[in-house]
Amino acid sequence: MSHFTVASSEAAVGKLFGGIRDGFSVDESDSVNMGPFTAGYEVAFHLEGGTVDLQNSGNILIKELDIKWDKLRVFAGIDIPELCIGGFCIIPSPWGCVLRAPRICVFDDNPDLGIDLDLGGLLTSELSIAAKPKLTYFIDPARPVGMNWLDAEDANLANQWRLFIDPDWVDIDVFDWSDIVGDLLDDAINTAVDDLLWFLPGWAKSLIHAILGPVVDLVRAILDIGDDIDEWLSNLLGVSLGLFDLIITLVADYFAGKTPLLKIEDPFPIMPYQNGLIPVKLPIEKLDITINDKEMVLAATLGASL
Amino acid sequence: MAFTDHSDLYGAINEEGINLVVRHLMRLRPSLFNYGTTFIAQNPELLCHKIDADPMVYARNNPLLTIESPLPVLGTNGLVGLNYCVQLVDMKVDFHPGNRITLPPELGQLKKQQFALSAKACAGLGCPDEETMRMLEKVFDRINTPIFVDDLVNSGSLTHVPDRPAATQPKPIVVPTRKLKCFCLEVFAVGHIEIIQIGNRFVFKPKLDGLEIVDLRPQEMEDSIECYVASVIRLGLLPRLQVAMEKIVFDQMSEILTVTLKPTPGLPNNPAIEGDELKVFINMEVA
Repeated sequence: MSHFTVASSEAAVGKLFGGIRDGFSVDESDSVNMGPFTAGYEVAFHLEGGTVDLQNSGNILIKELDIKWDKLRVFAGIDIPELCIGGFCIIPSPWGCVLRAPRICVFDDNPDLGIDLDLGGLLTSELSIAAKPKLTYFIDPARPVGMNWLDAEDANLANQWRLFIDPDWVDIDVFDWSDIVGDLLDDAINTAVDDLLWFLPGWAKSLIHAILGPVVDLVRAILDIGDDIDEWLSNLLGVSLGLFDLIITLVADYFAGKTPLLKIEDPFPIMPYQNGLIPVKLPIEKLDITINDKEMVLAATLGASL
Repeated sequence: MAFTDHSDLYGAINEEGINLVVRHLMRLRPSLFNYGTTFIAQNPELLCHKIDADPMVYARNNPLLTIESPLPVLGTNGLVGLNYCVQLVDMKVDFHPGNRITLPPELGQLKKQQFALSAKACAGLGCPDEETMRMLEKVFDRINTPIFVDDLVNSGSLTHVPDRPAATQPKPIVVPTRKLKCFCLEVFAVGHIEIIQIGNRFVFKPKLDGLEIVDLRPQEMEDSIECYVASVIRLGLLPRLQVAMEKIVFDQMSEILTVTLKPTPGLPNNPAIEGDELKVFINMEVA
Protein backbone atom coordinates (compact mmCIF):
# COMPACT_ATOMS: atom_id res chain seq x y z
CA MET A 1 0.00 0.00 0.00
CA SER A 2 1.34 3.40 -0.92
CA HIS A 3 1.97 6.13 1.64
CA PHE A 4 1.66 9.30 -0.40
CA THR A 5 -0.92 10.07 -3.05
CA VAL A 6 -0.69 13.08 -5.32
CA ALA A 7 -3.37 13.65 -7.93
CA SER A 8 -3.49 16.22 -10.68
CA SER A 9 -6.78 17.04 -12.37
CA GLU A 10 -7.11 17.09 -16.14
CA ALA A 11 -7.36 20.87 -15.92
CA ALA A 12 -4.13 21.02 -13.91
CA VAL A 13 -2.37 18.77 -16.41
CA GLY A 14 -3.61 21.19 -19.06
CA LYS A 15 -2.11 24.12 -17.16
CA LEU A 16 1.21 22.31 -16.82
CA PHE A 17 1.11 21.41 -20.50
CA GLY A 18 0.45 25.06 -21.35
CA GLY A 19 3.42 26.15 -19.31
CA ILE A 20 5.72 23.62 -20.94
CA ARG A 21 4.35 24.43 -24.40
CA ASP A 22 4.90 28.17 -23.92
CA GLY A 23 8.50 27.53 -22.99
CA PHE A 24 9.19 25.66 -26.21
CA SER A 25 10.77 27.18 -29.31
CA VAL A 26 13.03 25.95 -32.09
CA ASP A 27 15.54 27.68 -34.30
CA GLU A 28 17.25 25.31 -36.74
CA SER A 29 18.80 25.22 -40.20
CA ASP A 30 20.08 22.53 -42.54
CA SER A 31 20.96 21.98 -46.20
CA VAL A 32 21.42 19.09 -48.58
CA ASN A 33 23.10 18.57 -51.95
CA MET A 34 21.01 16.62 -54.42
CA GLY A 35 22.65 16.43 -57.85
CA PRO A 36 21.61 19.36 -60.00
CA PHE A 37 20.48 21.45 -57.14
CA THR A 38 21.13 22.11 -53.51
CA ALA A 39 18.44 22.97 -51.02
CA GLY A 40 18.20 24.02 -47.45
CA TYR A 41 16.03 25.63 -44.85
CA GLU A 42 16.10 27.93 -41.91
CA VAL A 43 13.24 27.41 -39.52
CA ALA A 44 12.12 28.87 -36.26
CA PHE A 45 8.81 28.04 -34.66
CA HIS A 46 6.93 28.02 -31.41
CA LEU A 47 3.84 26.24 -30.24
CA GLU A 48 0.37 27.56 -29.57
CA GLY A 49 -3.03 26.17 -28.71
CA GLY A 50 -3.68 22.51 -28.31
CA THR A 51 -5.68 20.66 -25.70
CA VAL A 52 -4.87 17.85 -23.30
CA ASP A 53 -7.28 15.01 -22.84
CA LEU A 54 -6.74 12.33 -20.20
CA GLN A 55 -8.29 9.04 -21.21
CA ASN A 56 -9.45 5.97 -19.34
CA SER A 57 -7.11 3.92 -21.49
CA GLY A 58 -4.27 5.54 -19.58
CA ASN A 59 -3.35 7.74 -22.52
CA ILE A 60 -2.68 11.44 -22.56
CA LEU A 61 -3.93 12.89 -25.83
CA ILE A 62 -2.53 16.22 -26.97
CA LYS A 63 -4.69 17.50 -29.80
CA GLU A 64 -4.32 20.21 -32.43
CA LEU A 65 -1.16 21.74 -31.16
CA ASP A 66 -0.36 24.54 -33.60
CA ILE A 67 3.16 24.99 -34.90
CA LYS A 68 3.58 28.69 -35.52
CA TRP A 69 6.36 29.39 -37.97
CA ASP A 70 8.30 32.44 -36.97
CA LYS A 71 10.73 31.71 -39.77
CA LEU A 72 10.51 29.21 -42.60
CA ARG A 73 12.92 30.05 -45.36
CA VAL A 74 13.57 27.53 -48.09
CA PHE A 75 16.36 28.11 -50.50
CA ALA A 76 17.49 26.14 -53.52
CA GLY A 77 20.52 26.51 -55.78
CA ILE A 78 19.88 25.17 -59.28
CA ASP A 79 22.39 24.07 -61.88
CA ILE A 80 20.73 24.73 -65.25
CA PRO A 81 22.35 22.95 -68.24
CA GLU A 82 24.68 25.28 -70.12
CA LEU A 83 23.06 27.03 -73.08
CA CYS A 84 25.01 28.74 -75.86
CA ILE A 85 23.59 30.93 -78.59
CA GLY A 86 25.29 32.53 -81.64
CA GLY A 87 28.59 31.42 -83.09
CA PHE A 88 26.92 30.60 -86.38
CA CYS A 89 28.46 31.76 -89.66
CA ILE A 90 27.02 34.92 -91.18
CA ILE A 91 29.36 35.23 -94.24
CA PRO A 92 30.66 31.90 -95.42
CA SER A 93 33.45 31.65 -98.03
CA PRO A 94 35.23 28.82 -99.77
CA TRP A 95 38.08 29.38 -97.34
CA GLY A 96 35.94 29.26 -94.33
CA CYS A 97 33.68 31.55 -92.44
CA VAL A 98 34.50 35.22 -92.90
CA LEU A 99 32.07 36.54 -90.28
CA ARG A 100 30.49 34.74 -87.35
CA ALA A 101 27.74 35.81 -85.02
CA PRO A 102 29.00 36.30 -81.49
CA ARG A 103 28.67 33.21 -79.30
CA ILE A 104 27.17 33.70 -75.85
CA CYS A 105 26.92 30.94 -73.29
CA VAL A 106 24.78 31.12 -70.18
CA PHE A 107 24.19 28.85 -67.20
CA ASP A 108 27.80 27.76 -67.10
CA ASP A 109 28.12 28.15 -63.31
CA ASN A 110 27.11 25.65 -60.71
CA PRO A 111 24.68 26.51 -59.30
CA ASP A 112 23.46 29.02 -61.78
CA LEU A 113 20.65 30.52 -59.87
CA GLY A 114 19.32 30.61 -56.39
CA ILE A 115 15.72 30.60 -55.32
CA ASP A 116 14.83 32.01 -51.94
CA LEU A 117 11.36 31.39 -50.59
CA ASP A 118 10.35 32.98 -47.34
CA LEU A 119 7.27 31.09 -46.28
CA GLY A 120 7.07 32.44 -42.73
CA GLY A 121 3.49 33.37 -41.92
CA LEU A 122 2.05 31.48 -44.88
CA LEU A 123 1.90 28.10 -43.26
CA THR A 124 0.05 26.52 -40.41
CA SER A 125 0.94 23.14 -39.08
CA GLU A 126 -0.75 20.98 -36.51
CA LEU A 127 0.57 18.29 -34.28
CA SER A 128 -1.28 15.64 -32.28
CA ILE A 129 0.36 13.26 -29.85
CA ALA A 130 -1.01 10.27 -27.97
CA ALA A 131 1.25 9.30 -25.13
CA LYS A 132 1.35 7.19 -22.02
CA PRO A 133 2.99 8.27 -18.80
CA LYS A 134 6.23 6.48 -18.18
CA LEU A 135 8.19 6.48 -14.95
CA THR A 136 11.88 5.78 -15.03
CA TYR A 137 14.51 5.74 -12.33
CA PHE A 138 17.48 7.89 -13.21
CA ILE A 139 20.92 7.38 -11.75
CA ASP A 140 23.32 10.03 -12.91
CA PRO A 141 26.14 8.32 -14.81
CA ALA A 142 28.55 10.72 -13.14
CA ARG A 143 27.63 9.36 -9.72
CA PRO A 144 30.38 7.05 -8.51
CA VAL A 145 29.35 3.59 -7.41
CA GLY A 146 28.99 3.47 -3.66
CA MET A 147 28.50 7.22 -3.22
CA ASN A 148 26.14 7.76 -0.31
CA TRP A 149 22.93 9.73 -0.62
CA LEU A 150 24.25 12.81 1.16
CA ASP A 151 27.43 13.09 -0.88
CA ALA A 152 25.25 12.65 -3.97
CA GLU A 153 23.01 15.46 -2.74
CA ASP A 154 26.02 17.73 -2.23
CA ALA A 155 27.37 16.91 -5.69
CA ASN A 156 23.96 17.45 -7.27
CA LEU A 157 23.97 13.81 -8.31
CA ALA A 158 20.93 12.58 -6.43
CA ASN A 159 18.92 9.85 -8.08
CA GLN A 160 15.59 10.81 -9.58
CA TRP A 161 12.28 9.35 -10.44
CA ARG A 162 11.37 10.84 -13.80
CA LEU A 163 7.95 11.08 -15.35
CA PHE A 164 7.91 11.18 -19.12
CA ILE A 165 5.06 11.04 -21.53
CA ASP A 166 5.98 8.32 -23.94
CA PRO A 167 4.41 8.91 -27.38
CA ASP A 168 2.34 6.08 -28.83
CA TRP A 169 1.94 8.02 -32.02
CA VAL A 170 2.69 11.48 -33.35
CA ASP A 171 0.66 12.92 -36.19
CA ILE A 172 1.93 15.99 -37.96
CA ASP A 173 -0.17 17.83 -40.48
CA VAL A 174 2.62 20.02 -41.71
CA PHE A 175 1.25 22.09 -44.51
CA ASP A 176 -1.86 24.00 -44.92
CA TRP A 177 -0.59 25.72 -48.03
CA SER A 178 -1.70 28.98 -49.26
CA ASP A 179 -2.05 28.93 -53.08
CA ILE A 180 0.21 31.90 -53.35
CA VAL A 181 3.19 29.75 -52.42
CA GLY A 182 3.18 28.41 -56.02
CA ASP A 183 3.10 31.94 -57.41
CA LEU A 184 5.85 32.93 -55.04
CA LEU A 185 7.97 30.14 -56.42
CA ASP A 186 7.30 31.15 -60.04
CA ASP A 187 8.14 34.77 -59.34
CA ALA A 188 11.30 33.77 -57.51
CA ILE A 189 12.45 31.66 -60.49
CA ASN A 190 11.75 34.38 -63.07
CA THR A 191 13.48 37.01 -60.99
CA ALA A 192 16.48 34.77 -60.46
CA VAL A 193 16.82 34.06 -64.22
CA ASP A 194 16.49 37.73 -65.13
CA ASP A 195 19.11 38.61 -62.56
CA LEU A 196 21.34 35.93 -64.00
CA LEU A 197 21.06 37.35 -67.54
CA TRP A 198 21.47 40.96 -66.55
CA PHE A 199 24.45 41.54 -68.82
CA LEU A 200 22.63 40.54 -72.00
CA PRO A 201 20.96 43.00 -74.26
CA GLY A 202 17.20 42.78 -74.40
CA TRP A 203 17.15 41.03 -77.75
CA ALA A 204 19.46 38.27 -76.41
CA LYS A 205 17.28 37.81 -73.32
CA SER A 206 14.26 37.50 -75.55
CA LEU A 207 16.11 35.06 -77.74
CA ILE A 208 17.06 32.92 -74.76
CA HIS A 209 13.54 33.01 -73.42
CA ALA A 210 12.33 32.05 -76.89
CA ILE A 211 14.76 29.15 -77.04
CA LEU A 212 14.10 27.98 -73.51
CA GLY A 213 10.37 28.57 -73.51
CA PRO A 214 8.94 29.59 -70.14
CA VAL A 215 11.91 29.54 -67.82
CA VAL A 216 9.68 28.58 -64.97
CA ASP A 217 8.75 25.39 -66.75
CA LEU A 218 12.41 24.62 -67.26
CA VAL A 219 13.28 25.10 -63.64
CA ARG A 220 10.20 23.20 -62.55
CA ALA A 221 11.34 20.36 -64.79
CA ILE A 222 14.84 20.44 -63.36
CA LEU A 223 13.48 20.44 -59.86
CA ASP A 224 10.97 17.76 -60.82
CA ILE A 225 8.24 19.88 -59.33
CA GLY A 226 5.52 18.74 -61.66
CA ASP A 227 2.04 20.14 -61.20
CA ASP A 228 1.74 19.69 -57.49
CA ILE A 229 3.92 22.19 -55.72
CA ASP A 230 2.52 21.05 -52.35
CA GLU A 231 3.82 17.58 -52.95
CA TRP A 232 7.17 18.81 -54.19
CA LEU A 233 7.84 21.17 -51.32
CA SER A 234 6.48 18.71 -48.81
CA ASN A 235 8.76 16.05 -50.26
CA LEU A 236 11.72 18.40 -50.30
CA LEU A 237 11.28 19.54 -46.71
CA GLY A 238 9.98 16.30 -45.30
CA VAL A 239 11.93 13.60 -47.10
CA SER A 240 15.04 15.21 -48.52
CA LEU A 241 15.71 17.63 -45.72
CA GLY A 242 14.04 15.67 -42.94
CA LEU A 243 12.28 18.72 -41.57
CA PHE A 244 9.19 16.77 -40.54
CA ASP A 245 11.26 14.27 -38.67
CA LEU A 246 13.07 17.14 -37.06
CA ILE A 247 9.83 18.70 -35.89
CA ILE A 248 8.46 15.43 -34.60
CA THR A 249 11.71 14.62 -32.90
CA LEU A 250 12.04 18.04 -31.33
CA VAL A 251 8.46 18.28 -30.15
CA ALA A 252 8.11 14.68 -29.08
CA ASP A 253 11.44 14.78 -27.29
CA TYR A 254 10.53 18.01 -25.60
CA PHE A 255 7.26 16.67 -24.31
CA ALA A 256 8.44 13.16 -23.79
CA GLY A 257 11.76 11.56 -24.37
CA LYS A 258 14.22 14.16 -23.20
CA THR A 259 12.25 16.50 -21.01
CA PRO A 260 10.60 14.81 -18.09
CA LEU A 261 7.26 16.24 -17.10
CA LEU A 262 8.27 15.73 -13.51
CA LYS A 263 11.51 14.98 -11.70
CA ILE A 264 11.27 13.68 -8.17
CA GLU A 265 14.51 13.49 -6.28
CA ASP A 266 15.16 10.24 -4.44
CA PRO A 267 15.52 10.49 -1.54
CA PHE A 268 12.97 13.28 -1.61
CA PRO A 269 13.90 16.42 0.35
CA ILE A 270 11.42 17.76 2.89
CA MET A 271 13.80 19.89 4.96
CA PRO A 272 16.95 21.50 3.57
CA TYR A 273 20.32 21.95 5.21
CA GLN A 274 19.82 24.16 8.27
CA ASN A 275 22.75 25.61 10.18
CA GLY A 276 24.95 22.68 9.28
CA LEU A 277 22.28 20.09 10.02
CA ILE A 278 21.92 17.60 7.21
CA PRO A 279 18.75 17.72 5.12
CA VAL A 280 15.80 15.53 5.92
CA LYS A 281 15.01 13.32 2.97
CA LEU A 282 12.61 10.47 2.41
CA PRO A 283 13.51 7.40 0.36
CA ILE A 284 10.92 6.67 -2.33
CA GLU A 285 10.91 2.93 -2.70
CA LYS A 286 8.19 2.70 -5.29
CA LEU A 287 6.31 5.11 -7.50
CA ASP A 288 3.26 4.32 -9.61
CA ILE A 289 1.21 6.42 -11.94
CA THR A 290 -2.29 5.89 -13.22
CA ILE A 291 -4.48 7.95 -15.51
CA ASN A 292 -8.23 8.04 -15.89
CA ASP A 293 -10.41 10.50 -17.73
CA LYS A 294 -10.48 12.86 -14.75
CA GLU A 295 -7.00 12.91 -13.29
CA MET A 296 -3.47 11.64 -13.15
CA VAL A 297 -2.58 9.94 -9.86
CA LEU A 298 0.90 9.40 -8.51
CA ALA A 299 1.31 7.00 -5.58
CA ALA A 300 4.56 6.77 -3.63
CA THR A 301 5.72 4.16 -1.17
CA LEU A 302 8.40 5.24 1.26
CA GLY A 303 11.33 3.07 2.18
CA ALA A 304 12.27 2.26 5.74
CA SER A 305 15.88 3.33 5.38
CA LEU A 306 17.91 5.71 3.29
CA MET B 1 -15.43 10.30 -7.19
CA ALA B 2 -12.11 11.74 -8.21
CA PHE B 3 -9.50 13.07 -5.78
CA THR B 4 -9.46 16.36 -7.66
CA ASP B 5 -13.17 17.03 -8.01
CA HIS B 6 -12.78 20.30 -6.11
CA SER B 7 -9.18 21.29 -6.75
CA ASP B 8 -6.36 21.25 -9.27
CA LEU B 9 -4.13 19.10 -7.11
CA TYR B 10 -4.66 16.74 -4.24
CA GLY B 11 -2.09 15.36 -1.83
CA ALA B 12 -2.53 12.82 0.93
CA ILE B 13 -0.39 10.92 3.37
CA ASN B 14 -1.67 8.04 5.45
CA GLU B 15 -0.75 7.01 8.98
CA GLU B 16 1.86 4.50 7.99
CA GLY B 17 3.45 7.15 5.79
CA ILE B 18 3.47 9.89 8.42
CA ASN B 19 4.98 7.49 10.95
CA LEU B 20 7.74 6.65 8.49
CA VAL B 21 8.29 10.38 7.97
CA VAL B 22 8.53 10.86 11.73
CA ARG B 23 10.96 7.97 11.97
CA HIS B 24 13.21 9.44 9.26
CA LEU B 25 12.96 12.87 10.84
CA MET B 26 14.00 11.53 14.25
CA ARG B 27 16.93 9.65 12.71
CA LEU B 28 18.13 12.60 10.60
CA ARG B 29 17.46 15.44 13.05
CA PRO B 30 17.92 13.81 16.44
CA SER B 31 18.71 17.17 18.00
CA LEU B 32 15.07 18.15 17.54
CA PHE B 33 14.01 15.41 19.92
CA ASN B 34 16.94 15.12 22.32
CA TYR B 35 18.20 17.83 24.69
CA GLY B 36 20.97 17.81 27.21
CA THR B 37 24.15 19.33 28.52
CA THR B 38 27.49 19.40 26.77
CA PHE B 39 28.77 16.65 29.06
CA ILE B 40 25.93 14.35 28.02
CA ALA B 41 26.49 15.21 24.37
CA GLN B 42 30.13 14.20 24.81
CA ASN B 43 29.11 11.01 26.60
CA PRO B 44 26.00 9.84 24.73
CA GLU B 45 26.20 6.45 26.40
CA LEU B 46 24.76 8.19 29.46
CA LEU B 47 21.52 9.06 27.68
CA CYS B 48 18.37 7.53 29.05
CA HIS B 49 17.48 6.18 25.64
CA LYS B 50 19.99 5.26 22.95
CA ILE B 51 19.56 7.51 19.93
CA ASP B 52 18.99 5.70 16.66
CA ALA B 53 20.56 8.21 14.29
CA ASP B 54 21.26 7.86 10.61
CA PRO B 55 24.95 7.12 9.88
CA MET B 56 25.18 10.45 8.01
CA VAL B 57 24.48 12.30 11.26
CA TYR B 58 27.74 10.90 12.64
CA ALA B 59 29.59 11.25 9.34
CA ARG B 60 28.80 14.97 9.21
CA ASN B 61 29.36 15.54 12.93
CA ASN B 62 25.79 16.66 13.39
CA PRO B 63 24.73 16.94 17.01
CA LEU B 64 22.68 14.19 18.59
CA LEU B 65 21.42 16.64 21.19
CA THR B 66 20.48 20.26 21.33
CA ILE B 67 22.86 21.59 23.93
CA GLU B 68 21.25 23.22 26.94
CA SER B 69 22.78 24.86 30.02
CA PRO B 70 23.27 22.65 33.08
CA LEU B 71 20.49 22.64 35.62
CA PRO B 72 21.58 25.15 38.29
CA VAL B 73 21.63 24.04 41.90
CA LEU B 74 19.62 26.78 43.60
CA GLY B 75 21.43 28.74 46.25
CA THR B 76 24.87 28.22 44.80
CA ASN B 77 24.87 31.50 42.88
CA GLY B 78 25.19 29.49 39.69
CA LEU B 79 28.39 27.87 40.84
CA VAL B 80 27.08 24.32 40.63
CA GLY B 81 25.11 22.82 37.80
CA LEU B 82 23.87 19.32 37.16
CA ASN B 83 23.90 17.44 33.91
CA TYR B 84 20.63 16.23 32.51
CA CYS B 85 18.93 15.10 29.36
CA VAL B 86 15.38 15.18 28.08
CA GLN B 87 14.37 12.93 25.22
CA LEU B 88 11.23 12.39 23.19
CA VAL B 89 11.18 8.80 21.95
CA ASP B 90 8.84 6.29 20.35
CA MET B 91 6.77 8.97 18.72
CA LYS B 92 3.66 7.81 16.87
CA VAL B 93 0.92 9.62 14.98
CA ASP B 94 -2.69 8.56 14.48
CA PHE B 95 -5.08 10.36 12.15
CA HIS B 96 -8.81 10.42 12.81
CA PRO B 97 -10.52 8.03 13.32
CA GLY B 98 -8.22 6.95 16.13
CA ASN B 99 -7.15 3.36 15.87
CA ARG B 100 -3.41 3.28 16.56
CA ILE B 101 -3.18 5.20 19.81
CA THR B 102 -5.43 4.71 22.82
CA LEU B 103 -5.82 8.14 24.29
CA PRO B 104 -6.11 8.60 28.07
CA PRO B 105 -9.58 9.53 29.31
CA GLU B 106 -8.47 13.08 30.05
CA LEU B 107 -8.15 13.76 26.31
CA GLY B 108 -11.38 11.99 25.41
CA GLN B 109 -11.95 10.50 21.99
CA LEU B 110 -10.06 11.78 19.01
CA LYS B 111 -12.30 14.38 17.37
CA LYS B 112 -12.92 14.81 13.68
CA GLN B 113 -10.10 16.59 11.85
CA GLN B 114 -7.64 15.85 14.66
CA PHE B 115 -4.52 13.79 14.92
CA ALA B 116 -3.24 12.05 18.02
CA LEU B 117 0.39 11.80 19.01
CA SER B 118 2.00 9.57 21.57
CA ALA B 119 5.57 9.59 22.79
CA LYS B 120 7.69 8.84 25.77
CA ALA B 121 9.32 11.84 27.42
CA CYS B 122 12.39 10.49 29.15
CA ALA B 123 14.47 12.65 31.45
CA GLY B 124 17.61 11.91 33.35
CA LEU B 125 19.48 13.87 36.00
CA GLY B 126 23.15 13.54 36.78
CA CYS B 127 22.71 13.49 40.52
CA PRO B 128 26.06 13.76 42.36
CA ASP B 129 27.00 10.67 44.30
CA GLU B 130 27.66 10.91 48.05
CA GLU B 131 31.42 11.24 47.69
CA THR B 132 31.12 14.08 45.18
CA MET B 133 28.52 15.76 47.34
CA ARG B 134 30.86 15.73 50.37
CA MET B 135 33.66 17.19 48.31
CA LEU B 136 31.37 19.96 47.07
CA GLU B 137 30.24 20.66 50.62
CA LYS B 138 33.84 21.20 51.65
CA VAL B 139 34.37 23.62 48.82
CA PHE B 140 31.30 25.58 49.74
CA ASP B 141 32.27 25.60 53.41
CA ARG B 142 35.41 27.45 52.38
CA ILE B 143 33.67 29.80 49.98
CA ASN B 144 30.77 30.86 52.14
CA THR B 145 31.02 32.94 55.28
CA PRO B 146 29.28 31.31 58.20
CA ILE B 147 26.18 33.13 59.36
CA PHE B 148 26.33 33.84 63.08
CA VAL B 149 23.50 34.79 65.41
CA ASP B 150 25.20 38.15 66.05
CA ASP B 151 25.07 38.98 62.40
CA LEU B 152 21.38 38.29 62.30
CA VAL B 153 20.72 40.47 65.33
CA ASN B 154 22.88 43.38 64.15
CA SER B 155 21.96 43.48 60.46
CA GLY B 156 18.40 42.29 60.67
CA SER B 157 18.95 40.49 57.42
CA LEU B 158 19.57 36.91 56.40
CA THR B 159 21.62 37.99 53.42
CA HIS B 160 25.11 36.64 53.66
CA VAL B 161 28.11 38.01 51.86
CA PRO B 162 30.81 35.79 50.40
CA ASP B 163 34.14 36.25 52.14
CA ARG B 164 36.01 36.65 48.83
CA PRO B 165 35.68 39.31 46.17
CA ALA B 166 33.73 38.19 43.10
CA ALA B 167 36.85 38.20 40.93
CA THR B 168 38.42 35.42 42.96
CA GLN B 169 35.40 33.18 43.06
CA PRO B 170 35.91 29.70 41.62
CA LYS B 171 34.57 28.86 38.20
CA PRO B 172 31.15 27.25 38.06
CA ILE B 173 31.24 23.48 38.33
CA VAL B 174 29.12 21.15 36.28
CA VAL B 175 29.09 18.01 38.34
CA PRO B 176 30.25 15.10 36.22
CA THR B 177 28.30 11.92 36.43
CA ARG B 178 28.66 8.27 35.53
CA LYS B 179 24.96 7.57 35.24
CA LEU B 180 21.82 9.58 34.88
CA LYS B 181 18.82 8.83 37.04
CA CYS B 182 16.26 8.33 34.33
CA PHE B 183 12.51 8.12 34.18
CA CYS B 184 10.05 8.13 31.31
CA LEU B 185 6.57 9.57 31.13
CA GLU B 186 3.90 8.58 28.66
CA VAL B 187 2.86 11.70 26.78
CA PHE B 188 -0.26 11.93 24.67
CA ALA B 189 -1.27 14.89 22.59
CA VAL B 190 -4.00 15.80 20.15
CA GLY B 191 -3.80 18.48 17.52
CA HIS B 192 -4.81 19.60 14.08
CA ILE B 193 -3.02 20.96 11.03
CA GLU B 194 -3.44 24.43 9.63
CA ILE B 195 -2.19 26.02 6.47
CA ILE B 196 -0.69 29.41 7.14
CA GLN B 197 0.67 31.98 4.75
CA ILE B 198 4.21 33.26 5.25
CA GLY B 199 4.93 35.92 2.66
CA ASN B 200 3.71 34.47 -0.59
CA ARG B 201 4.20 30.88 0.51
CA PHE B 202 1.86 28.53 2.25
CA VAL B 203 3.08 26.11 4.87
CA PHE B 204 1.54 23.28 6.84
CA LYS B 205 1.67 23.98 10.55
CA PRO B 206 0.75 21.41 13.19
CA LYS B 207 -1.12 22.92 16.16
CA LEU B 208 -1.43 21.37 19.62
CA ASP B 209 -4.96 21.16 21.04
CA GLY B 210 -4.30 19.18 24.21
CA LEU B 211 -1.64 17.23 26.07
CA GLU B 212 -1.76 14.67 28.85
CA ILE B 213 0.90 12.95 30.88
CA VAL B 214 -0.44 9.79 32.38
CA ASP B 215 -0.66 9.02 36.08
CA LEU B 216 1.38 11.75 37.67
CA ARG B 217 0.45 12.89 41.17
CA PRO B 218 -0.25 15.33 42.64
CA GLN B 219 -2.45 16.82 39.98
CA GLU B 220 -0.78 20.24 40.25
CA MET B 221 2.60 18.71 39.52
CA GLU B 222 1.16 16.90 36.52
CA ASP B 223 -0.40 20.13 35.29
CA SER B 224 2.89 21.96 35.64
CA ILE B 225 4.89 19.30 33.84
CA GLU B 226 2.26 19.10 31.13
CA CYS B 227 2.45 22.86 30.75
CA TYR B 228 6.20 22.64 30.37
CA VAL B 229 6.12 19.77 27.85
CA ALA B 230 3.40 21.53 25.87
CA SER B 231 5.56 24.66 25.80
CA VAL B 232 8.51 22.64 24.51
CA ILE B 233 6.37 21.08 21.78
CA ARG B 234 4.57 24.28 20.79
CA LEU B 235 7.50 26.65 20.95
CA GLY B 236 10.52 24.42 20.44
CA LEU B 237 9.48 21.55 18.21
CA LEU B 238 6.47 22.32 16.01
CA PRO B 239 7.70 25.65 14.61
CA ARG B 240 10.69 23.76 13.21
CA LEU B 241 8.49 21.16 11.53
CA GLN B 242 6.66 23.41 9.10
CA VAL B 243 6.80 22.08 5.60
CA ALA B 244 6.24 24.36 2.64
CA MET B 245 3.37 23.25 0.45
CA GLU B 246 5.39 23.26 -2.73
CA LYS B 247 7.77 20.78 -1.12
CA ILE B 248 4.99 18.25 -1.21
CA VAL B 249 3.73 18.96 -4.70
CA PHE B 250 5.77 19.62 -7.81
CA ASP B 251 8.77 21.20 -6.17
CA GLN B 252 10.89 19.60 -8.83
CA MET B 253 9.13 21.35 -11.69
CA SER B 254 10.71 24.65 -10.87
CA GLU B 255 13.36 24.05 -13.53
CA ILE B 256 10.72 24.15 -16.24
CA LEU B 257 7.88 26.17 -14.84
CA THR B 258 6.98 28.63 -12.19
CA VAL B 259 4.12 27.04 -10.33
CA THR B 260 2.21 29.01 -7.73
CA LEU B 261 0.22 26.92 -5.28
CA LYS B 262 -2.61 28.06 -3.06
CA PRO B 263 -4.96 26.12 -0.82
CA THR B 264 -8.29 25.56 -2.53
CA PRO B 265 -10.80 27.93 -0.92
CA GLY B 266 -14.37 27.11 0.02
CA LEU B 267 -13.83 23.58 1.29
CA PRO B 268 -15.10 22.68 4.77
CA ASN B 269 -11.72 21.29 5.82
CA ASN B 270 -8.46 22.00 4.08
CA PRO B 271 -6.25 20.36 5.10
CA ALA B 272 -8.52 17.55 6.16
CA ILE B 273 -7.71 14.77 8.59
CA GLU B 274 -10.09 11.96 7.86
CA GLY B 275 -10.09 8.30 6.94
CA ASP B 276 -6.67 7.82 8.59
CA GLU B 277 -5.15 10.30 6.16
CA LEU B 278 -4.03 13.89 6.05
CA LYS B 279 -5.36 15.41 2.85
CA VAL B 280 -4.72 18.73 1.22
CA PHE B 281 -6.46 20.36 -1.72
CA ILE B 282 -4.51 22.84 -3.79
CA ASN B 283 -5.11 25.13 -6.71
CA MET B 284 -2.25 26.19 -8.92
CA GLU B 285 -1.25 28.81 -11.40
CA VAL B 286 1.43 28.15 -13.98
CA ALA B 287 3.63 30.85 -15.44
